[in-house]
Amino acid sequence: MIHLYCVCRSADPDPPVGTIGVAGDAVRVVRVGVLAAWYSNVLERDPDKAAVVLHDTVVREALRSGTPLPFRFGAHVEDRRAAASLLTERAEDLLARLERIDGCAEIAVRVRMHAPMEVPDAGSLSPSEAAGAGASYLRAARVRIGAADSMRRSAKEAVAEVVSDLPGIVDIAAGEVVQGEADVALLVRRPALATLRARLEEACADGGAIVASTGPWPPYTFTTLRP
Amino acid sequence: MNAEQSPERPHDKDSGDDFDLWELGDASRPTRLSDLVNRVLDRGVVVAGNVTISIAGVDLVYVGINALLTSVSTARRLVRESEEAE
Repeated sequence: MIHLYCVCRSADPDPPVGTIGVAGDAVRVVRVGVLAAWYSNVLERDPDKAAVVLHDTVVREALRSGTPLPFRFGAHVEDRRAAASLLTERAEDLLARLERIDGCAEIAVRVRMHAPMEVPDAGSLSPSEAAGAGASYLRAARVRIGAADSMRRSAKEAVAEVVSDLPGIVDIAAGEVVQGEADVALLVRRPALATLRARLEEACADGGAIVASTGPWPPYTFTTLRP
Repeated sequence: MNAEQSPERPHDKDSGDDFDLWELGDASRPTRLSDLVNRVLDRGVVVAGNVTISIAGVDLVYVGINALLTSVSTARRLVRESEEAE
């Protein structure tokens, strides 16, 4: 089995000499038509933090010379031939995803939600509600989901308010809300990164909704096509 | 398989971008690791629903979209049988 890191364009450079994969061997590339995939041997032991970091390190190396379409950690195929088949069978889909992120990187932004909604917890049902727990549970779940969606929208709007006037912001995606903070991802054209960093630095220091930022990341969040 | 010759693509590496990871905000609340884990483990392209995970030292493979869990050796046997049937 081989471990897949990312899909790139065939014209992009090879992995630099010395790029080591999760199993300690050199990262290699397989090319089919206009697409290429970076891969290495599979990690034989249980994956750990070091392996996860190394996966990102390899994809980040691809980011230095092109725009990689990252695989999720644990994307394995039988062998190099299977990887080539994957590139062939999914060529149209993969090319469309690459087009979407071409020339971009991802920035992570943490947003503090100031007014989280109080929503009923399934565990807080009254006995009578619990008796008809099925429908009550679903109603409560719907409210929770609605509240989470609302917070994600608010987080996205909070970030958009800070950065929307900057050129090079291609897309904004809101992720999960955990412990009162939302994870928002920005897809940004590379020439705009320095200006965006300065803006986010100011925002973090302002004491407003934006509390932290990391990046640039390979565009993990933007690897799917919108419906 | 032979790779077709594709036109030379301009790379952005000459833009002077620095891709070393930045971390902004309160230094007492590092977010780099959680941002990394969120991305690498939860986002990115999935290979046709096949993901290898390891639990208690046993490699398990989701075979196809139905998330059928099986061992790597069984998955290989299934792939071989499928190929032989074609």
